[in-house]
Amino acid sequence: MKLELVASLAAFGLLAAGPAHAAAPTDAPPGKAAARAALVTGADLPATPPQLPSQASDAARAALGGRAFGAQGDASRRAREQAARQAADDASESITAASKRAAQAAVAAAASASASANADARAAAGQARSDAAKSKATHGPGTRP
Amino acid sequence: MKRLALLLALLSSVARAGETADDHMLEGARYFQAQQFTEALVEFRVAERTGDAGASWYVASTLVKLRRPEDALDAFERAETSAAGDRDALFDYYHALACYDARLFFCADRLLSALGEQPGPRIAAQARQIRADLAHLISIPPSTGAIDWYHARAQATLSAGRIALARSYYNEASSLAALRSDGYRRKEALAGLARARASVAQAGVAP
Repeated sequence: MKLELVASLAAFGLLAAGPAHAAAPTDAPPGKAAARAALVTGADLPATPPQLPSQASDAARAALGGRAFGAQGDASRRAREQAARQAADDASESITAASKRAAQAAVAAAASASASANADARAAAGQARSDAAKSKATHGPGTRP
Repeated sequence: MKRLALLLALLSSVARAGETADDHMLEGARYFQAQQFTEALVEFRVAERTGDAGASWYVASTLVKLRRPEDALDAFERAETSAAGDRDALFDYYHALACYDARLFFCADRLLSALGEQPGPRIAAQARQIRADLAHLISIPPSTGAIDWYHARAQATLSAGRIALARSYYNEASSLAALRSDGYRRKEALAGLARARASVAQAGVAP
């Protein structure tokens, strides 16, 4: 599934970029190769023509802001952007924390399994020694089993 | 032998339980391709935090798609510090778009001019088209109001401790002032640049 996804993303990126695009290094891991292909595909032109800003026009807009919808619209847009940023930050934090917790749990489980396996091995060795001693006692030295 | 088997089991269980940085890169790629840039940003950031410093270039590029040019410029600055070896023409194209969206047109032109054919024919053609659109704008004397705007952004970003951004805005103000015969506020822009550099030196960050 993963390989199919990587292959399709990479193929799409190659088609979109043309034959001579700067390919990802051949030793790039699959996730990075796919991400690079996605970036190649998404490299667009700017949405608006270039235009120099003007402090005067900004000041005029700010002056009008109290009387028009502009200020409210700007405030609302800023609030939405801020909320989206916060949500993205929070999501990154929780995914990182969840990954760490899962990894720690796996390490603890494996360590416990290892300890229990060692105890089993020690018990088995003890049992073998005991069996051997019993066998020696029953048959005596030099006797055939 | 038993210990080796146990070690292998331990490693594989850790790999299953905690996804690797590259797994998050793959998820990020899927979201980016589907134009779900907020989700892609989350995945690339997790990859970055999971130990893949090179993921910072993808974080910065995704911020460009999210129309957050100033945050993108900060992220590109961090990427250059943390994973300079991963920088290439594709990331420089996205970096130029961040400059363009932040109205740092000289910065955009400088980055695009160095691309050549490296990012492939389609992106190279786009870069040429953007440069053609910018050519007029960065060659005629600007209004004083435009230069004032760059000074205001530079001061605001410097006060906020975003030194690299402040430097970019002062650079732009200085380049624009150079197009005017009166060099409007050029000395002030150069003094601002020196102040920003001093802040960088004080913070111990590479200029």
